[in-house]
Amino acid sequence: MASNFKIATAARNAACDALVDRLNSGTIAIRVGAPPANVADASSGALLGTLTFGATAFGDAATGTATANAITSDSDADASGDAGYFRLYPAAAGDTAADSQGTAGEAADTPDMTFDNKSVVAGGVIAISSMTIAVPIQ
Amino acid sequence: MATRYIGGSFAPPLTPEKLEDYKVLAEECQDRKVDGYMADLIKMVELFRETPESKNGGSAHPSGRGAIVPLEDSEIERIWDAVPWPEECDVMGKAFDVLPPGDLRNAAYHLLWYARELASDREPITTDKL
Repeated sequence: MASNFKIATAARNAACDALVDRLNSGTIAIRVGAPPANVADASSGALLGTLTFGATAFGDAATGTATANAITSDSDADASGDAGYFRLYPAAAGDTAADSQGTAGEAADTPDMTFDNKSVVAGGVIAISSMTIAVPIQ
Repeated sequence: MATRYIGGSFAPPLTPEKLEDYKVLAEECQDRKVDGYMADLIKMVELFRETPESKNGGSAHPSGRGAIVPLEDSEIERIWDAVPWPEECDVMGKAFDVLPPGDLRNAAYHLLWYARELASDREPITTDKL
């Protein structure tokens, strides 16, 4: 039998808000290479830079989607390399306490996080905008 | 859970002095593949230096920082042979990724960053333009 499981919009909004509220004052770490197999694994690859969410990281979810408020750029990238993956951390979380992770790259790489130039240069600037997190209907 | 993010990476300006330093680093590099790629990218930057400021209007960068100014068609054509395709940039990136942290790696990726900007047919959005 095909699955017909669906989540109501109110429940999607509540789940999404719960997810993104964990990121208040949290961070985004951008690293080189492929992401570790599991979010709880130690990070691999050089840390290119770290961006910071606002005290209220996201606005309230609507139709299961939350949009980030302004994200503070990293104005002094830590190292040089091609962005390969990212991790989202709650405030003050340790390396293996990320909430989520995904691939990073250019559009042609079909990543979860799209940069229009994935090469990062030490001392450069890394900026992110247009960030959304969504809980799907099913 | 689905996510969507748009980001940008902006490098410091590549001054003539810095480019001279990069030439020395490339020449001293023992990895012939890296040396060759860097030499090609240095030639690309030197050729691009002759490009006058574009008269094309700019548009906002999707990351929310800086503006995208497309190169003029005549300049795209002039530097065409020196600018690697995005796929070639990826090959270079893999070669550079074996370099240990330090001046040589920073130089290689700085040059590669320029290549990726020019491969997008736009003026490199260096940090001094943000």
